[in-house]
Amino acid sequence: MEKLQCKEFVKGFALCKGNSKMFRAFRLEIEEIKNSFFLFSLLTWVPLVSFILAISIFHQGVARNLPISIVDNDRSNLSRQIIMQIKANPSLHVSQIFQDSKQAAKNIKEGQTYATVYIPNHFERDVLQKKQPLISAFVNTQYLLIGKMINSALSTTISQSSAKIDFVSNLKTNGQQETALNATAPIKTQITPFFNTYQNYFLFLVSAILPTILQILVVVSIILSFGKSFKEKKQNVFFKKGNILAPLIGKTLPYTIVYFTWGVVYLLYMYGVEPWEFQGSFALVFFAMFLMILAYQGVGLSFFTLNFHTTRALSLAALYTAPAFAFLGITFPASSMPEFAFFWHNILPVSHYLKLQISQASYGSSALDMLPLLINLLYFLPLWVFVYFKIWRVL
Amino acid sequence: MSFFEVLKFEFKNIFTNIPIVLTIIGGVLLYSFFYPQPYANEIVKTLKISVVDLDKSELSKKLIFSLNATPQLNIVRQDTSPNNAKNALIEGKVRGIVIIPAHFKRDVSLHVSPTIAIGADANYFLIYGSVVEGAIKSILTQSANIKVSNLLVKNTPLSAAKKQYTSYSLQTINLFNPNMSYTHYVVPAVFILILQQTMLVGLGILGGFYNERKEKYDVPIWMKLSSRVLIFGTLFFTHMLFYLGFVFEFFSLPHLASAYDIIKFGTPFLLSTIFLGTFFGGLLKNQESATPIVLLTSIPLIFSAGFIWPKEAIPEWITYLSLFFPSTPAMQGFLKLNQMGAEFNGVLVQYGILWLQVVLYLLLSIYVLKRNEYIHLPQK
Repeated sequence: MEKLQCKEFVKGFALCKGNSKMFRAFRLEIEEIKNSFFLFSLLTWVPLVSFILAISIFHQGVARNLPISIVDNDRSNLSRQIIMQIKANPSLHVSQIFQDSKQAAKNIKEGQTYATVYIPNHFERDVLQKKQPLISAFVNTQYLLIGKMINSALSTTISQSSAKIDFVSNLKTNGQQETALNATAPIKTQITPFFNTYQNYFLFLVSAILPTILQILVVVSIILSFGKSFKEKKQNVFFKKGNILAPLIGKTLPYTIVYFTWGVVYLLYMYGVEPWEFQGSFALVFFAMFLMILAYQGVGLSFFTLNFHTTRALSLAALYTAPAFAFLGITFPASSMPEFAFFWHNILPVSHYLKLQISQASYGSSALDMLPLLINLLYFLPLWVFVYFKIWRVL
Repeated sequence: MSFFEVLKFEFKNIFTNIPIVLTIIGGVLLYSFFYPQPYANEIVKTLKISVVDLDKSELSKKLIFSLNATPQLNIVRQDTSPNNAKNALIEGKVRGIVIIPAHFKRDVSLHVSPTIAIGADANYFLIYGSVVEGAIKSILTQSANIKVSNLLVKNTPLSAAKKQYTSYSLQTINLFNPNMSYTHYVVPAVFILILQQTMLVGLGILGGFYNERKEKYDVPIWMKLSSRVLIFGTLFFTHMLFYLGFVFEFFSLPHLASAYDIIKFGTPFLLSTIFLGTFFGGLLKNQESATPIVLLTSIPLIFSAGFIWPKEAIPEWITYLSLFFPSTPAMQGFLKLNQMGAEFNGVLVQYGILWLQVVLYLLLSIYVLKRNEYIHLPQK
């Protein structure tokens, strides 16, 4: 009966004929998932909702209208002109103009504005007298990223506005537009952001956050699946001494397939639906994704088989997967981390996977160049041997 | 059972449960050391760059020298073509490229502004920013020098020439985190989230444990609740002071708020988390579900709180949703009080939200504990 169903399910599939023990475990696990709302959720709507949340938070990609205030102590034509220019910068939103700098400072402390621009007394007069007055910007860098965005928006605006004045005064003395322009800036710079051409935070952060979410799901679901079977004393239904490998693969296979599919879905979304360039080979990234999932399953099962206690294994899993994002080397470069953090960076499969994903998306590096990263992921697979023997011992 | 007996019973169930202890004591202590680790070196190290000098003039050599003298940058190779340099970037040998065009010197002396190209890998924003910032600073200095010498040629006195190179400029003063430290940016807020998440896991496992037992535990609800408030409140009050006091001191993080303000603001934070945890635990059928659920909320909670990514850029429905968790107003409020030195008046909104949460989750936890009593009654 069993064999018949097997044939019906995957007609002519060699895998099924040779390894019906594996297929049996696979089918049993599907039943388990059907009966557990929690496991079912972790495979279906939970990844969907998590992905949608992460994507929605960053979907705007570039920050616009960051509220700042201006303290204008000069109230001259020039200061009004500068205020107009700041207002025209799409990254900034001048929410208030104060007469009093104390009020502006209070506003920043309370988080209503992120910065205040201070135009001093006699500003216009000092410019005309070539005294080179300073405009001050007080920027809240507690919110580092926001602070950096405001910094660069303000310095671009002010240097452009200053260059305009320079240009006009040079035009007066030189008379020629070309030379006047050149006197303003003898050397020009052109900045080329390679690979993330739009300097978009969405691409930068979400392409790292989604695999981070995926690793949590992979580890947690595999622990819960095995935990459930062992708690319900079903280990002997799945495993028999001397017959562990096939059912082990069969039992984990539904999770491998589903999370691999989620991985493919997010990759296709990021580089297919969204406009980001992808230079390299999708096959290679899919392969690395597959290895990463196996690696994390190995880790999760090792946590579980340490003492076959689900909740304890989950505590370990939390410790291992929860801080992962900080150690990825995306926001803060791995090469600048101290030794321990760099070590932790390396024992997270997602670090190696992500390097491969980025280099395939951006550089289109050859498969040969990717070999070291793939080998790094393979290093996690011996954990499965540990798991095999631990299960063998408790049967 | 008297109140004291209930307290003892709860205490025993909490501290004999290894995963709970592992989380609410082990986890809290471990994370305090663990989380700041990646940023411990604080500043991004010197970045290797490649220079492509297509001019090979005196002026271009001068520029290369001044680039190399920039603290952020270290020229490790000179490539003959932009393509070679880009390959070195892809292979990770360098982090950035500076290209000096051919006829650079000639163009400068002919007053045709030549363009220097700076390139860096924008996949890694922090590296990208450092390369661009370092290179631009050094090029601007060179550019200013040229401007001064041009003015000198026109017989302007040196002091006047130096002053004239720009009409006015911007001076930036970084507030609250003057060195742009990553530790100061991330760690204070993450600590608040850790306090909430470990408490929710602990109370979640405890709730799951009672629901698994399916034994009648027939004592007045106020006793159950107040014993949890006492046990978790005392423990996490200590944790909070340990984090915001000792650990902040250890990592030399600024802490501007007075102890009184911290305690005043921390009280509704701890209470709302205890009641949310009790409500959450009451809903769980078993102990295993607690950790995964809490774990999966961490990433959305940290990124939607408005300090990593500006709240102006986050969809409103996510912002409103996140306000149902104590960590969101708590992170915002603690950052303002402790990192930015706001007066207590400046956090009244967050303080109010936290007290609203206390009321909401108190009612919900009373409801769920009452409901569970009936579930546990032996069915006839």
